[in-house]
Amino acid sequence: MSEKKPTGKVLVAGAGISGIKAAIELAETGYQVLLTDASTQVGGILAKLDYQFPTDHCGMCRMLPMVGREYSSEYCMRKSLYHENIEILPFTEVVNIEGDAGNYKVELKKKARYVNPDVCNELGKCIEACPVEVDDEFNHGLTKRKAIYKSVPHNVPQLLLIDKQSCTECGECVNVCSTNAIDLNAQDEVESREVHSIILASGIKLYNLRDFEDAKSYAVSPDVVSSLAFERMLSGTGTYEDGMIKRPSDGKPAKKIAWIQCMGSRNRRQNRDYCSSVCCMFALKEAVLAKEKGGPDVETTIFYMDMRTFGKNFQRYKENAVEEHGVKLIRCRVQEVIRKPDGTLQVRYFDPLTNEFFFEYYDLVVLSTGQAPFEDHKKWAGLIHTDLDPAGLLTTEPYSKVKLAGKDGLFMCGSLMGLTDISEAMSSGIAAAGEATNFLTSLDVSRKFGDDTPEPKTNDRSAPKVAVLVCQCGEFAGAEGLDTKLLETELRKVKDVEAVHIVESMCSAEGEQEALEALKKSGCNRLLIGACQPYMYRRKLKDVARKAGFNSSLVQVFDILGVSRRGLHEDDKTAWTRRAIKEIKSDIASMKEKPALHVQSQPINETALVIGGGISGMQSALSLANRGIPVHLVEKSAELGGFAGNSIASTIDGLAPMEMAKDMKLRVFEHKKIDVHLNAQVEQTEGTLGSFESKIVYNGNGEETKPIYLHHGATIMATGGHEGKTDEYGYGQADNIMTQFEFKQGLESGEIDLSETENVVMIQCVGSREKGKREYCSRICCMWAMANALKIKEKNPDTRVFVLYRDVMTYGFLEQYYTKARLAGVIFVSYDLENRPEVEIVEGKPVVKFTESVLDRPLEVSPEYLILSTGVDPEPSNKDIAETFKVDLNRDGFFMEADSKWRPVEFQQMGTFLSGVAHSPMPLPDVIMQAEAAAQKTFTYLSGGEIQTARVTSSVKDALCVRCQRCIVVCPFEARSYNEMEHRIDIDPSACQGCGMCAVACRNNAAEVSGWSDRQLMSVIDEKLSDDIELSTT
Amino acid sequence: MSEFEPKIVSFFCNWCTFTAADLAGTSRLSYPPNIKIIRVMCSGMVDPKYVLKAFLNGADGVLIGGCWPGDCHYINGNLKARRRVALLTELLSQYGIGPDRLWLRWIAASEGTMLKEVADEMTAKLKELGPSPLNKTAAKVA
Repeated sequence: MSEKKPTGKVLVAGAGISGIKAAIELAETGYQVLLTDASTQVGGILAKLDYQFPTDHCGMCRMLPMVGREYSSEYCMRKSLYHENIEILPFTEVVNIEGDAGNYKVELKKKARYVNPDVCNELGKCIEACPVEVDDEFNHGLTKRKAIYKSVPHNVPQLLLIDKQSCTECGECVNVCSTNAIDLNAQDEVESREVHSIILASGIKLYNLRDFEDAKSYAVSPDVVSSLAFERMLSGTGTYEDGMIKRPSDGKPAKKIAWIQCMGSRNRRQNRDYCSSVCCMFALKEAVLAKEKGGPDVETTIFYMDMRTFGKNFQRYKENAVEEHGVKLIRCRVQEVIRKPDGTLQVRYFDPLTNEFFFEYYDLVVLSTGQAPFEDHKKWAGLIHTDLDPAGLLTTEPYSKVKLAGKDGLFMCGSLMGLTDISEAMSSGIAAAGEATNFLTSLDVSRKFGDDTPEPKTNDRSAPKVAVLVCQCGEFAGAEGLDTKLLETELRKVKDVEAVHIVESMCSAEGEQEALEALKKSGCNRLLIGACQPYMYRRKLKDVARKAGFNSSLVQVFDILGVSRRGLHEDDKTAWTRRAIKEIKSDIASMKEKPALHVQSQPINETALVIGGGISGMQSALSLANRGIPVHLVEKSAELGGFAGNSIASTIDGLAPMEMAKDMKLRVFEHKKIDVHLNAQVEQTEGTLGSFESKIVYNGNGEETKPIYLHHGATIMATGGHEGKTDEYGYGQADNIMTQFEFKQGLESGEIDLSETENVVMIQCVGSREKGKREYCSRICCMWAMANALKIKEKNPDTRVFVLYRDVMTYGFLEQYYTKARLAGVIFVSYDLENRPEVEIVEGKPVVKFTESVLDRPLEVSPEYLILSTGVDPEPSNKDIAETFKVDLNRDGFFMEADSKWRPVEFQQMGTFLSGVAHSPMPLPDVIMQAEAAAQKTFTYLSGGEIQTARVTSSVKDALCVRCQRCIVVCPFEARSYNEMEHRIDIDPSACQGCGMCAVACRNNAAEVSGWSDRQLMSVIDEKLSDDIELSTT
Repeated sequence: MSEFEPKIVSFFCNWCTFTAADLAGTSRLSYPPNIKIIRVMCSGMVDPKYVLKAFLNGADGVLIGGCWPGDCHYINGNLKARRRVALLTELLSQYGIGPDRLWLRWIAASEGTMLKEVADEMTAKLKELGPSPLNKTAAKVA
């Protein structure tokens, strides 16, 4: 990489989780990211969700980098996010985009906060002084806030702002502010920036209860809330208190709670012919949590149309909710909600099973409000100068969910593609970053990793000499009761403290210069800085320290305004000083024992191995090879293409998998960087990220070929799946009983003639979503049924088509095909497991008996074709591959990813990734998206030729190690292994996350995490305790 | 004679419980100064010898705060902590340190209020129990 090339720069517009993920991926790859968000905070909807299924808690921090930990924040993402390559601009809107691919000029409107975050010390005196009280948006109006406020309770630093709409400009806040941070006349600022590529990740608006027609009639009381508002009622930073879910109207506990689904979604008359995809799981999770948080006596009911549990392990979550937690599900349309004089809510619904109206009474009703996509899409279409599709949405390139049609260098991800769950938001974020990387590699731009300036050399063996630098924040610290004189005197007494310097204000240029001079003169090798808001200024302070010659691992920043004051009673005047002295002393104690830590680089083999030559595998291979990564593509059969690529000619959304695969095969075979191994399997593999060796065996045509050994840096599993088999419903007993796929092939080849056909029956979920069988939804069968049904109606409109279903899974914008099928006259009849259709073979022909739900009458149909939706099975070979690569399969035989929400395309085993149907059944565009995501993750690790491992990793003191190998067993990241040749424990520093499990398990103190040694912690414990004894005796 | 003020060494996991402490701070919830917070990366990083060391050096109680099961940033560190604390409780009781002196609590990042409650509760409990039997200095004072 030449010095002169500019670093690739990408704007990610929207800092919800998909935008954050895209930004982190790009930053890890070495590009500069501008991450903006129109709202006041980062985190999007997730900032409001304390609980996410399947653990029903939080796992957001798992999206942080694993290898490049050094360059990013390592703390809870609810506080904030930091990465050296990401510039975060909240409260900033993209107002104009000009230019072409690779050369975009964007105008950003930085909205006025009226509070200068650089100066504000976030003590909140202004909030107390503000006389204006309005609804708090963060808690959906369940609580109140002032006109000057903190927009998110858990953010650190707390960026205050003034809501000018409700502000009366009385000036009270200005009067009490001791740092002059408030400027009531501040103006929005427009700034122009140049970027090479843009990712749209702005998410989607959700319908608001009180201002849109559908919900208004239900929202008859404050006790009717939206699903997001309910989320805030479960949160400690919302209205959850004393183990109670409080009813908004009177604060009484809500013990009977109902959810009404599809609010604003699946409504063709209102031009909302789509499903919002996530609400079913959302409601299930909330219903489970309601019991957990509100007590076991809470009763929960979900009123729904179809329970769309189409994602990986969703079906199992639903069964668990019903069976273990007693969540009641009622399939119906709710007619109305009426508020009774005592405040209870009467829900009136029509039960299609009994054909009767029922009333139920609830304390609280939650409306599952869906997405309102059109406004956002229209806005972006205007900004990027493109046309919307007839439905009013942005168009993407065929097969791609993230590449915007006809717009090079422009991508989208997350809920802008249609409301997505966390897993899909992650995949799409990574995929968008992948496509952007793809695009950037075609430009003449470079990548940059971390800080280029070399780390000052510290003599590790010299005795600790500690310098302490305390910023007194102008007049402020003194005025608030911090006795800096006493602080200085006390700290000077501490052993090994050689210099204590109080700076008036580190924020100012003079202060910085003063600190730099003092540090240079100090002759110390360790530095503790007491300053405010270290989360914001850590970087800057460490830079000053580095200039003065300190190794950055020996510089610690201590939050003197925040942490040392937290939790203290305000009336105790000396408490702050005492606490600050104590905290600083324990930090000094720890730092004195700390050695200088260095970043290490590890060489990486750039080659990738892709297992599975289906569409997913080919996509990953091509994407990597196009970016210069050599790829070995291993396919166990004699042909590339996989199931979809070799047998599916068309899909309902107008895609042609076979045609696409044909083109891909050509490109794969012609690509110089791709080696194709047909009739081949991986028999053995060994190694860690960056250096794997795998044995490939060939088994073609009875000819024995010698196995070969491949060296590669990473592996992608793309093993795919195939159509499930069945012996239910008379399959195999008559020629005209066939699977959806067989019928589709018959139609396409012309073997099936429908001109005389009177009746066709389709049975959905055959052997699926049932205990002991396929315990999952295969996600594509409903679409196949719609496609076949529509084809039948097109060829012979007089044919009666019955689709016997349990839940129609046409999630998202696929809903339109369900609507189309109903309009075409396809008859949909629901059944459940207790009352399933029966098939009898009479004279070699099937007779199907089922209950017609609307008429509630048993029907008997003798169809010319009985078509069974048999779902998708995982590849049986997954089992062997999982064993070979030491990765896990889930109960259903699909590969188990590292984290079902936050790390969907990687395994726990570093350097091993997965994509497509190997993960779970999914439609083609999702397969492509995951393949792109897996390729991107691989690229990030492999493309530099070396990776920088973090400073904080574990080590083994070989002389103390007894080779008991306990540390290998306890390591959650499989970073440790036993080296038989050398008879020692090896550590893969790229896999090690520095959690310290090994150090605890080691009985000989041989295992240790650098920067977290026993000596350090023991000194801290001493310090925390000894201080008190001293104080109590004096 | 002033009231007995127990010293509680508190190991908080960097990801969840330490964030909860931050949140309690920014939400201006006050918790007793008896809680002496030591940040560790994971509750599973708390070596039993740290707990023993704390008791030997005069702690009246030890509080370990981690993420809820299933949420650990390091997959299962909190579960390892749970097993360890169960064994450690047994061991400590042999030396007269009862189970009420070593607490393990799951406190998620957003549970600032819970952090305050646990801190209050543990301080009150230890005030009731009096100084640790190992804490001779404090025992003499009491």
